[in-house]
Formats: sequence, C-alpha cells, structure tokens
Amino acid sequence: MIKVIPLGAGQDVGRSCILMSIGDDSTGIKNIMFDCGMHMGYNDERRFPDFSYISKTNRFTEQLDCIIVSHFHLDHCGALPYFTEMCGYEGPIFMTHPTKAICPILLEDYRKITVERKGETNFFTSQMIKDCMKKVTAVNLHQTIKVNGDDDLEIKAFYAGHVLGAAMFYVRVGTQSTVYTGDYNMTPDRHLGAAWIDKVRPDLLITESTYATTIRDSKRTRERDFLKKVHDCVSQGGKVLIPVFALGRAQELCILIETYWERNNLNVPVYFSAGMTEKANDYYKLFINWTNEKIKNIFVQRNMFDFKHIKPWDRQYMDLPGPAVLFATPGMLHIGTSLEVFKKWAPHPENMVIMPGYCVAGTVGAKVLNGDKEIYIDAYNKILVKLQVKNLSFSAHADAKGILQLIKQCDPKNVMLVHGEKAKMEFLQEKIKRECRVPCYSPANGETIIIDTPLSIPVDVSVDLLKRHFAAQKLPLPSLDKRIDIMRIKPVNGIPIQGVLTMEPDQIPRLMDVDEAMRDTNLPLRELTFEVIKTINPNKMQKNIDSDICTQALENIYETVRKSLKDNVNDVEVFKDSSQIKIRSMLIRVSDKNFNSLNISWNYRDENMANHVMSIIEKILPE
Amino acid sequence: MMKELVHFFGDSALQSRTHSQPGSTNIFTGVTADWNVARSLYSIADIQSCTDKVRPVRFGEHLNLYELEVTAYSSGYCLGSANWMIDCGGEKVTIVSSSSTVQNIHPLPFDETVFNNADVIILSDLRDEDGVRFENTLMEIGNCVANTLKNKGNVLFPCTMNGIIFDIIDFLNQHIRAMGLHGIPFYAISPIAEESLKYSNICGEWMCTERQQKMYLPDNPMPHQDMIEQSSLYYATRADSSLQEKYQEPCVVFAGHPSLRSGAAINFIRKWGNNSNNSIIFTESEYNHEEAMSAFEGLQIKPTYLPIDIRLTVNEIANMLREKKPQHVLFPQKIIGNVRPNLPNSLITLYECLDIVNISINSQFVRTVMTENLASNIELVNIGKDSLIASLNGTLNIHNTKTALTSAKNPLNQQKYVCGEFNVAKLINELTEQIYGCRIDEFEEDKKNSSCKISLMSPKATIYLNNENFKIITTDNQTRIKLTKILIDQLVVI
Repeated sequence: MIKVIPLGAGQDVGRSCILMSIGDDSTGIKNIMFDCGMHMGYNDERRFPDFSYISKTNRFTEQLDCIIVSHFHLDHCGALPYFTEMCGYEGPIFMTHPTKAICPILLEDYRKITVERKGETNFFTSQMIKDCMKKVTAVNLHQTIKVNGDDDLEIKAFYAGHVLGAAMFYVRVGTQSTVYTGDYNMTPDRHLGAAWIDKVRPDLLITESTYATTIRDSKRTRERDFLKKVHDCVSQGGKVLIPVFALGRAQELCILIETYWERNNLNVPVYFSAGMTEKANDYYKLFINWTNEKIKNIFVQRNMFDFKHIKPWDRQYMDLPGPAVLFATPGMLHIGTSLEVFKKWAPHPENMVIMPGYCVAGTVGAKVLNGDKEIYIDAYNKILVKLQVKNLSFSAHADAKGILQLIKQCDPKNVMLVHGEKAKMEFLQEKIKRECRVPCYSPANGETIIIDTPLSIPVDVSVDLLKRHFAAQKLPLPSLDKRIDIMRIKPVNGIPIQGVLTMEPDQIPRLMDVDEAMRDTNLPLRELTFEVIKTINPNKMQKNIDSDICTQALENIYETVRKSLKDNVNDVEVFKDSSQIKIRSMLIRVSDKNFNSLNISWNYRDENMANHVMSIIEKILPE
Repeated sequence: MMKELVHFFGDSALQSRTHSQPGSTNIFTGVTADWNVARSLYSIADIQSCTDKVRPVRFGEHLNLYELEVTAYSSGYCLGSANWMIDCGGEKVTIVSSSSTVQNIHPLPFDETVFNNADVIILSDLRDEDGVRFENTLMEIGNCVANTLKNKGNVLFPCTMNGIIFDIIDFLNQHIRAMGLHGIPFYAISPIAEESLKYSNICGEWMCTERQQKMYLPDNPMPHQDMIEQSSLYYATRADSSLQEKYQEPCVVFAGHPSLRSGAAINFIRKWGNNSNNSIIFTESEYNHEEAMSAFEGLQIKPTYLPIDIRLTVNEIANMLREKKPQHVLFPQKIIGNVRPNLPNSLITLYECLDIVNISINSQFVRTVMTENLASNIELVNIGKDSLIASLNGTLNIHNTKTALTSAKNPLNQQKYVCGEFNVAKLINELTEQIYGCRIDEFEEDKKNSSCKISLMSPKATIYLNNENFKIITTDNQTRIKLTKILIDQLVVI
C-alpha cells in the first residue's frame, strides 16, 4: 500500500512538500518526503509546510526515512533549513550535485530578504543553512542509492531538464515503487536537455502539472517571438525589463540574446543584475556536464556561459537615457531589483516588460500579467503601469503534451497531479484517465491518497531448482512443415516451476527441490507408487474388428487424454507407442498377465494429474 | 588519452594501417624514433566514431544487459576509473582493474563495497611490492624541482597529460611557493593539454570529497584551473611560436611523450640537454627511463627517476579481502611469482594470459517475490519446531530480468510428496479398523531388508512396503484411494 499526502503543492503551486508512506510487512513502512519548499505568496506561517502533521512532538528523525529534493528552486527547497535546523530533522537528505551547490545560495538570498529587509527575527541563519547543507548527500544521475544501507529502500535520479541539476526520483521499496518528477521539461532548450526516464513501471507517478492545459507552439517560434519583441522595443529607444530568477531561465535567455546581438551586430547595452548571484554563471561553467550535449561538446573552445555582450548591472544605470535590456531578479517582481526597476520604468509606454516565467498568485508579477493598470505594492504605494507587457512562456515546465509523454515513457499504474492550479488539474486529470487509462488523482493539501499495491512476499529460490527448470524449458519451435510466423515468435516470459517451500520463523521462505528440502528438514522422503489393474469389459466397448480390444482402448484413452491435457496443461507431454502411454510418471500399458486388462501405474507425486486421467479412463472404460 | 597517443604516434603518411591494441603500453617498448613512420595507429576520426558508440555510465548505476546486471564502482586510480561487479542471477563476480587507495589524490576514493557478497574476484593490475610511499616520492620530486630552480635550472617532466600528473602539478605549485620560489611559470605542452586540463575541471562529481566541496562554492575543483586563470600555468599544443610570448625561464615543463620518442619533450631535451643545471624527472613507472634516454647521447641534463605507482599492492588487496569471504580470488600469475598473498590457498586461483579458467560457483539461493494470489493458495504443513513446509506449483515470470512467482496456469501440475516416519503395525491396525470386513490374507515380513508385503483378500489389493518405497496394487481406483488415505494418514503430505 502506498499512502501519499501533499503538505504543499496540492492543487497549488508553491511550497512543494509531499509525504509518502510505502512498504509492506516484509520491508517495513518507509516514510519519504519529496521536496521541502516555501510559498512565495505568503509571509506568515503558511509559507512553510505544516510539519506538525508528521509529528506533533517534533520527532521527525524517527518518523522520516529520508528527504529527497528535486531541484534548487525555493518552492522546492526553501523550508529545508527550517526543517533540519529549527524543527530538528537529522535524517538523510538527497539531491543532485548542482542542486547541493546552488541551493544554499538561493536560501541565503531568501534569508537576507526576509531578515535584513523585512526585519523578521525568528528565521534560519546563515550558519543554519551551512549546517543543513552538510547533512545533504549528493547523488549522480542513474546512481542507485540504498538509503541508510537498507536493501529495501532504493532511490535513483533521472534527468529532469527544468533547471541545472533538476532531477526526477524513482523510489523502490521492496516491490513497490514511485516516481516523483519535481519540475521537468520534455523539450530541450538552449542550455539544458530534455527530461528522460526509463520505463520503470512505478505503482505511482507523482507529476507536476503547472502547464496542465497549455500546449505550446514550438520552441523556435517562441524564441523568435521573444527576440523580435526585444529588438523592436530597443530600436525605438525603449528599455526592456526581463524579470528572471538568477539561475535557470536567465542563462537560457542570455545565450539567446548573446547570439542574437552577435549575429546582428547590435550594441544596445545588455545588463544582468546579478547581486548575490554574481557567481551564478560560474556554476554553469563547473557543471557543464549537466547542460546539453552541444554546450558540452564545444566548451573547451568556448564556454557558452562566458558572455561578451552582457555586463553587470549598476543601480545608477536605471536613470540613464536611451535603450537598454536588463535581466533582473527576482522573476515574480515581488521584491528586489526587478521590482525597483519596474517602478521606475513602468510609467513610460515606450518601455517593455517581458515576463518569461510563471508568477505565483498575489505577486506584483501576477498582477502585471493580469493586465492591472494600477498596482498597489502596499497600502500607500501604487504603480501606474503604462509600459508594454508581454508574456512569453519560457518557463521550463512540461506542457500537457509533455506530461502525457512522460506518463507513456514510464508507464505507471497510477498518476497523481501536484504543483498546478485546481481547475487546470481537473481538466488534465480527465484527459489522463481517458488517454492513458490509469487512475489519476489530484489531492488538496492535507488530503490522503491511498493506492493499493499487490502484496508480494520475498522468497529465496534454490539455484539448482531454477537451473533445472530453465533447462527443462523447451522453446516452442515450429515444425518444419509449418510456415513460421515471425510475429508469433517471442521470448519465454513465464516458466512453470514446481518445488517445496520451507518456512522457518524469522526467515525468508525458501523454495527448493523436494530432495533438498527433505535433507534440510531431516524428514525421510517416501516414494508411494500405485498400480491399478483395470479390466476392460468387452461388452461395453464399440467393437472394431481390425484391432484387439486393448489396443483400441489405449488408442481411445490417448486421444481423449491428450486433448484434455492440452486444454488444461500444455507443458505435459503425452507419449504413446503400440502398447503403452506415458504421461510423466504415469504408465498405461497392456497387461501381460491379465487378459483384457490395462496396467496403470504412477507415483503419488502426480496424484493430481493421475486422478484427472483416471476419471477419463473410467468414462471411456466403464465397469 | 587515445587522442594524445594518436597525436604522438599516429596519423602516419603510410596507408597500411596496422591496428595495434589500444591501451596496451607494450607497444612502446623498444620503439625507435622513427617507429611512428613504420606503423600507424587508428585515426582521430576512428576515436570519435568509437567513443560515439560508448554508453557512458555512472558509479552505482545498475545496467541490465540481458541476464546480467553490471555496476561500476570507483577504483580511485584516476577520474572515472572503475571496478565492475557483474551479477548473474545471484552469482556475483567482481573485476578489479587499476585501483588505488592512496590518500589525498584527486579521484573519488576506492569503493570497497565492490567486494560485498562477491563469489569470485578477478584481479588484474596489481603492484607486487609495496615500494616507496606516494607522499615521500612526491616530496622528493618537490625537492628535486626546488633545487634545480634555485640553481636557475629548468625542469622537464616527460609525461602524459592525465591522471596523477594533475596532483603533481598541484603539489609542485604549492611546494615551490613554500620554498620561497615565486613567479616560476609551469607549461603543459601536449596536443591535448588544453582539453585535458579544462575537461578535468568540470568533472568535480568524480573527485574526492574535498574537491567536491570546492565545486559547491563554486571554486575550481582542480587547482590547475586556478593556476591557468592566475597565469602561472600555460598550456600549448606544441613547443612552437605560440608559446614564445608567454615563455620565460627558469620554468617547469610537462611535456609528452614519456618514451621521449615523440612530442615536445624532445624539443626541450635539445634545448636544455647541454646544461647540467637542468633536470629531467621521470615519474611514469610504465616507461623505462634508461631506454628513453638512450636515444640521446652526451647529455648534461640531470636525469632523475622517481616513479610514481599508486596501484594496489598484493598485500593491500589481501588485507581488504580477508573480511569479505569470497569463494575464489583470481590473481595474475606473473605478479604472484614474486609475492604470496596472505590468503588461504584454497581461495587463490592463478591465471595467465589466454588461460581459460573454469570456476564453479555454488551459490545457493536467489531472491525473488511471490504474488499474494499464489501465497494464499499454499497449504502449509507444520513439521514441528515452528517449521512449515508446503509443496509449491507456480509460474516463474521473467520481465526485464526481474523475476516473480505467480499462480500456476493449471493446478493439475501440482505435485504432492509424502514423507515422515512410518509404522507397519499401525497400518495393519488401521486397515482392519477402518475397512469393514477387511481380511488380511498374507503378511510377510522380511526384517533383514525391513520390507514387507500385505495381501488383502477383501478388498483385493496388495501393499508392498520396502524402506522408503511403498506400492499399492489394486484392481479398482476406489479401493486404491481408500487404502492410500489410510497409508498416508501416518505421514506428512505436502
């Protein structure tokens, strides 16, 4: 049984935090937390997931087996230091190498804004972020990790493409498994490859659904669109503001602008308001292996993240006349440089703001996208929005087509949607049920979803027994006269197996050959054989003059038994010659001592089958 | 590495292409300066087309190759060097290649879990004796370089641009600074110097923990990248005019090829060979320095041989394996000639090149799972001491190398077994008690063979009991069923 409860990101975007209990009696129940994020739209206690759900007495380490963080965006990792340093979780945490590297930078930035600008006191400190990151185990893609050295709890990361180091995680406990996608992108972009997962057939796929209802046009069109808008605006002397998050989309758009500027020989200044992330591009340089093939292949000659046209931003440039392009953080215009510049540039209609990503409800960015002409930042300050507002879907989430594509790729038995808006999720949920024919859920925060998984019991099978059965397996080769239908040739995927199961207390049951089992248990094995002398009543037989009565009876038995066994068990072979029939240990032959009699013998092992055959014989040869 | 080899020795003008074994260093022994004209290696294009076919894997990634599961583990020798575990239906074979447990070098450390539960361990590239400690050799190299530089001499390292040389560059940089020698430039000259130096810096995930920590900052995990950025290390493809503008003496040069038969090393020997203030330091243990130097005559340059060999020794591996309990350990014959591993003789098998070694592994069990449906249909019999036993008839499903036991397609296949203690007197008792009008006609007992024959008149039947073998002969099935029931009542039926 798998039990899932979203503490965040249930019918919502932000504060991703999903709890899962998975396992059965043989493995024990494992509790896993996927992501530990914060909500951009709240400044009160709602910004973090409600961890009291896990334990009222803060005994988190006992309750949870591990935390898995999918990528470095704050809505996926923002609550991590709070949970480990202030709530006291001390168990293992897993994330990829780039996530481990970049995560603390974003957390530190978030902490600075909250504590130093807003003056909050009860918040995690820089030291706490460092201590928290020390507890993180970095993983490589496709590396299979046994959590806590436990053979029954295995995790494996797959490339998700969304941002540098973003990963989807496959979790296996015994025979049950789940895939958590985090955020992912099914189309490669300028700097990252596309998400990929093996056909792992999990019992449950937990997927994001940010763009549940969108089907986007091609990447190339969107890129052309973006460049044209920027170019048009600057050529008329306007200023272009592009609010971005420092890591991720920013690098993709920078590569785009850089190549366009170079090709068209433009000299309009392009700035990147780096701030805390002056080193942002350095991460991309060191983690080139996590970008796409093209960037990897040319990096020795030219590192794509060494930008020539893009210069660092200085606040004084804000009031300079003339056209300019500025990438400024953060992406949702809720605070910081991007908001500051937006206030300055918004009242001028020649300027432009391009929103390349998704904005959480309640942020200035969301209001701008909504077309609001007057925006209140707080009770006293409002901005008049006269500049041109453009929205370009550049955020690297899979669209509806991509989500369905991923479902097909990993072939889950159940799907659960998170990280999306309720109405859109409902639409996609129906679509998934219809097109993929799997149950699909979209629980709200705090709502539990229970997925029944077939129970399975571990067994140790004797290698000898296996080898004997493998060797006995005959390939159903077509006979020479038959035409070979290539479509019908397929690998054997199931072989019948017969053995003895022994169970000792506190031990995995063992399946072995009967002789092995008897040796182990010290019980003498008895061979019990039977011989039934069946007299044929000639009066009840249809006479056939050509052959004698016994041969005829044998012939009748052979035909009927063969037909019956073929219907029931197709791996039992029935042999016949002129005086006898052989089916496993069962031998039916013409008696040499008694007149008009058949001698039928078998071993008790084949009692089930022999009884079946005997009942057929009784019918053919009544007393 | 392959590219470097080709640049040094390949791409010859001759069209006759004799393919040499890649990776085999033996091809250099006894080569002459014009050897590369005589034979040709594969080409750069061949390398590309070959590596395109390679599927990259990461440590700990389980690969399913038909019925085999193959997993790579870090061997600690150089970036990405791996030992392999092959799991074939529960039988585990570990293949150990060039490995190292030397501390404080850049690669991810040797992962001992590769030996866990291994039945067979195949060892190949070992060192026979323990030799000098790596740290000591490094210190000697450092002193040798510092002394030469103090005498205004230059130092030449004939080397390939990969592996332990990264640690040597890093160490020397720190060492000569600590000795008060500043502003001494390092030059790495090889057709692949730039690629190799830069590429290694982006492989932080494949390095030891300290280097990974630097990567998270983000700092360069490879100190040579810092040296490049601070202009204390320069790279060049060859010793030509491109090097001239940044070249100054005294300096330290790392140049190929260590055999001194090709590459920029030759240029520097010509340039520095007549001054005894200069030093040439051989660090690569795979090449014979005397033979390398034999191509040149009357050199004044001071040769020093300080080989660095970080491979595992026979003793080190024996110590590691003592707790792991494998069934067989295969050692290469030529190494064991000099030293006996401290392991039980029964474990050790020696092999030579082209030997075919047959090893029987008697692994007992493989783990699989059975479905709820199958389990619920099993009838367990208690045979005392909480032990349960049952006959099982099922289907073994195989899908993507994962196995599972499911219900049998037909119950007729189910076999039954009888076992347990048996008493003849009790049988006779039961027969007369349970069958109305039962007449035992004849009872012969042969104590010597512990066999007996019971003939019944009514119903007509004969029962033979002979040690473990029982036989019932009847003329009708109903009687047989009745007698069987009485007989097996005393026994355990599964």
